[in-house]
Amino acid sequence: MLEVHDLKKTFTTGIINKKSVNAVDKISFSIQEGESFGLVGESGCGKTTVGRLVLRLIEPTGGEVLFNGIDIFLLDQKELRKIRPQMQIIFQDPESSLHPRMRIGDIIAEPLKLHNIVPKEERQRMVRELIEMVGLNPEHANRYPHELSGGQSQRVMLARVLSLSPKLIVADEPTSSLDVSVQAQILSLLKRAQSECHFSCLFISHDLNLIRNMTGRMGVMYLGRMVEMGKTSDIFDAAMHPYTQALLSAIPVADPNAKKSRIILEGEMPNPLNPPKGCGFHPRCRYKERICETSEPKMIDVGDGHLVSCHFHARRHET
Amino acid sequence: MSILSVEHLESQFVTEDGIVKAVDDVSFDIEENETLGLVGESGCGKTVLALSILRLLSENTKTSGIIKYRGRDLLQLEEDDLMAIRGKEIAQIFQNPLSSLNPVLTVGFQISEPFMRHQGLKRNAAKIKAVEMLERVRIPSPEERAKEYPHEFSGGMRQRAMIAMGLACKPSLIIADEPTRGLDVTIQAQVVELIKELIKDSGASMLIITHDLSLAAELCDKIAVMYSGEILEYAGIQDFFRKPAHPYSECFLESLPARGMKPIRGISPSLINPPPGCRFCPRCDHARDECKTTHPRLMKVKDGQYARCHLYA
Repeated sequence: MLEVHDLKKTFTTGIINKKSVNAVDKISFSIQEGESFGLVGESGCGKTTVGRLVLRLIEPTGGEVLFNGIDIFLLDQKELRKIRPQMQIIFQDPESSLHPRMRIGDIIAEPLKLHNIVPKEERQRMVRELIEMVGLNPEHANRYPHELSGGQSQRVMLARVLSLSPKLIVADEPTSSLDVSVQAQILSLLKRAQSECHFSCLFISHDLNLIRNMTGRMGVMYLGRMVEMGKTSDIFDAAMHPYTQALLSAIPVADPNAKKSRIILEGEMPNPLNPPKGCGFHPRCRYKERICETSEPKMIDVGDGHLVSCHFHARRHET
Repeated sequence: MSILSVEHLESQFVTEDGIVKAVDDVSFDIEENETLGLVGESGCGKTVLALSILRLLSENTKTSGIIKYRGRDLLQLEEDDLMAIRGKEIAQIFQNPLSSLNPVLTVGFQISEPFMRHQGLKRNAAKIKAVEMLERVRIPSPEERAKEYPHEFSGGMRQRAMIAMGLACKPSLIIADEPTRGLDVTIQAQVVELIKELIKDSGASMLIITHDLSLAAELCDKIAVMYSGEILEYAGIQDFFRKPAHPYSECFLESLPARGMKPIRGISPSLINPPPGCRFCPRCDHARDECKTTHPRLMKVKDGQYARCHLYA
């Protein structure tokens, strides 16, 4: 359904002393039809940039994104517009994504109008159905965004996205600003919609508990690179990359008796303007060897589609 | 004896739409060496409660009740007497360090301020102390870092600087409002380990305000659950996570992604005109007729566990 090859995005900063940041560096992954793929990583790792590149909301520096076999970076504006209804995004901050002066009903009807999904007469009926589908009251159609709570706003976003029956939804931290009880409401709604409408989902989050609940396969990003990728259950059961291991061990557990052998990472993520040579993770890695400081590890397949980019595993796998 | 004892605390704001009862008849105690977690979702009043203890709310808030710290009622103290307690005996670690730190003063100077104010140290002596504090919260090369401004620090380091400032004068009670909010998981793990170690070393009591149940599970001895301005449950940490008494506590726990991610239907009631009966009743599966009309009292479930629910009448 979606194939991403060697995706790359470089941002430049500064006017005189131009510096460049490789926000996304040679990322490849694919998503099957109806599948949920999770992208996890800490702030600044480039996961949001990947989400935007996949929809070509920003232009890439290199690589390709094949959507049902079509390279979306080769399309012109007109062709892109035609394909847009099939690929949609849900943003992190629903309140700032809704137009403050439009009524909810009009906000939901807008994409239907733009892409001419249904004839004018049927639009109102469809809006009513969508409102009901995402668990809002019919009276909400006449309200303005500021009258809604965060959870309700995210329901409106979902209604808007679902109105186009997309094939792919990029959900970028869709619940990071919501309370847990509301988060659970929105995500179970998303899950239900997916089982009814069979869209694929790129689920971007920093929260590993959510990735575990929402996705079948996942990728872990660090400093713009993919460090590990595979089935979500495989990664949770047997993480290979030292960064993934530390990330998993840091998951907060709501149980006072949980026995934890936490791997506390020293320091913080390096400045992407000045990334370390070799493996990006080596300054914080427990298993660091000399080779890690000089040469960049390759992605290797350790079996069953489980990929890891680490010298330690590469060597063990060869022998 | 309790180090802090809060009785019938109420904090109200007057707004155009009516009176908002952000904190409504809240009572609790914190014992010496104890960490109490005040948990709840956004808008339940937990931050207002935290701010009202040191009287940090704005003028238009009406606060009533008793807040006894070591026998003295903080609400009755003169401003000067209260200033002597703030930062010295009771310290507050605020959420969002970027907006709580002064952007035009160096971090070192800001940490040295409490030493100058409360311990009468001269500027140079206080600076040395500030560097020591930065070292204690494990900021690398503390001497150089002390000369930097808050914007030069990363989020995790700013939070550490806030903690250093809070602990500067060895307070006996620390109020921490969402100490790990906005931090990445690996950095959060670092900060949690640090707080644990520092509480153990200093023997201070602590009030942790958070929406994050896993943070509470890790740091607290007791839990108070807040909902719509009230405390709905009060329990020891083991009881709370094993067998929560209030239906809301149960739903709150079950809505966690690691515990089934079961949604709670509906939304929290407005703080302006809360429902007359139980405030959780419109969302509760156990609701009966009396829940709609009679406001429940905090009832004893067992020793050390209380719930504001008619199920335990």
